[in-house]
Amino acid sequence: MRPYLAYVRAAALIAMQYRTALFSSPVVTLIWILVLTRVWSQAYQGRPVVAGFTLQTTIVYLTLASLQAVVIDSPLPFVIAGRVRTGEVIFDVNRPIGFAGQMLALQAGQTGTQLIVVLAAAPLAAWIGGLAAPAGVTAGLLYPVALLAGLVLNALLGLLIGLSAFWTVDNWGLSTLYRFVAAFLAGAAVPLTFLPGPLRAVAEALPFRFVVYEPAAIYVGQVQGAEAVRALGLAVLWIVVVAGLVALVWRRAFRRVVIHGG
Amino acid sequence: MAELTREVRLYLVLRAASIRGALQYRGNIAIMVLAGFAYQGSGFAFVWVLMHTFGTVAGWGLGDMAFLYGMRLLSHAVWLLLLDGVTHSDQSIRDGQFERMLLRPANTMSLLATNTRSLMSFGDLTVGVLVFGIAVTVADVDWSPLAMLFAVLAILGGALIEASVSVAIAGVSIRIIDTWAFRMVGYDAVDKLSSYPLGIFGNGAQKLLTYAFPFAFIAFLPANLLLGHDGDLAVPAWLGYLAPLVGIALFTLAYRFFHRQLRHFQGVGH
Repeated sequence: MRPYLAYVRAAALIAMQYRTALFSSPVVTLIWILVLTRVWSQAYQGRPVVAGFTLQTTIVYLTLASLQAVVIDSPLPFVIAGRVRTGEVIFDVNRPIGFAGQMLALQAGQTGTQLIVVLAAAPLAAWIGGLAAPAGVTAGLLYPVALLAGLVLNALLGLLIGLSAFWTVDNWGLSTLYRFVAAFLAGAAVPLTFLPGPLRAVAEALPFRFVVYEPAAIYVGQVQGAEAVRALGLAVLWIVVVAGLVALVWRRAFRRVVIHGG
Repeated sequence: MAELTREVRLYLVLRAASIRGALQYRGNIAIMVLAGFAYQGSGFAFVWVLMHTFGTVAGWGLGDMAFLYGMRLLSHAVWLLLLDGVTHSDQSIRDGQFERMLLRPANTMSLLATNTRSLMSFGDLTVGVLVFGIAVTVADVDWSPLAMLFAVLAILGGALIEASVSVAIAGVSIRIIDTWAFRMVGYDAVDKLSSYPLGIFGNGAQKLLTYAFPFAFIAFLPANLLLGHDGDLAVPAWLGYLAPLVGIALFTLAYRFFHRQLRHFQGVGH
């Protein structure tokens, strides 16, 4: 475990070196929270409840969801593509800890740093959008668990997309495509209950919702009781499935490792 | 005049060459266009879902929203198709490519603008044409020849306003090595603040987005006139007629700023 923790620490230190990037990311999120909450407020026009959400709940949901969705922009595809292209990946595969583990540790360090920045920006987000206490004690207790599951799942998905670089070298197009589709289907701008039937079915069948929608919906009390527990169970199931996929893809990717510039 | 004709011809040759370059990466073509499509498409999907549930936002229906969104996307695509290399000024300077651009007998901005192999703007263009094309048939617009001319000029004006943000940042990148953060905030602000009706914001923000950061001119104010909305705004609606002029003025300012900064170029030691 020690080498992984060292890797996490190194990743956090790297993230903290890029200070302007670290501070501009919450600015972008805050602008989006401003636009998003204003658009929704105008849309409600005094309607008490739409698709199970009051305006107040929707605003809290959207603020929270926008803050959570920051993590979907994973550095892994970019990092892996860079290391494959330059041949640096030779150092990674020669280390005494596994490649997938290294990349997940890197993501953990980056996400950890992002979370600290997000927490620091939360009061501003609450002022621009709106935040409230969790819907109840259970919601407050379940939220961090659901969020953690979402972060793990998000890291594994980012890794899976990133591994495509071993076949294509450049994965910029694919990772961009992934980022926007995943964010939308995760419920970053629209609580999933608002989606029209077929689109909702697609979002429900895919794992992205556990990164944003489920934790945020648990927090505001939209998903509760047995439903919340089932959501957590499904999230864990998805983690196992995607982890298995990552292991499978990595085994094949390892055989395809080409060292450029060697 | 002869000088201008020569510059335009050189620009077209360079642009054609960079697009030919991009087309060499065959496998990448579809995925890049698709990425651009997903970026803008997911943005419009949000608008569509919202209208599907609520019908109107700040007095604007789906057709009107699509008109605004499409108009802004067309401006966005036009500026990217013409000048996307400007967004890579950091990299060009760091790689030492910028020295080459300064030495060649052609306009530096032309060389910088055509120094990319990105096809993502074609994805933006596809979504823009699709959304705007459908919106034109749905939204209630009185298409007199004058209105058509105004729409075209307004789209070009919007493109110039967006371009001026990028050109100004490219000017800054000549003085400081890394402008990634400016870019990220600048582009995102344009993207988010100009694609929705101004009426969703409070009076202060409306004035801010018209007079201080004139993003409202990119698409909203002209679209508002074309659609004939007389909703309550904190700013006079007729200002929209000035959109093409605002574009020309801002782009001229940004270009002059960029050009002045060239005198201070120091290189990064190649």
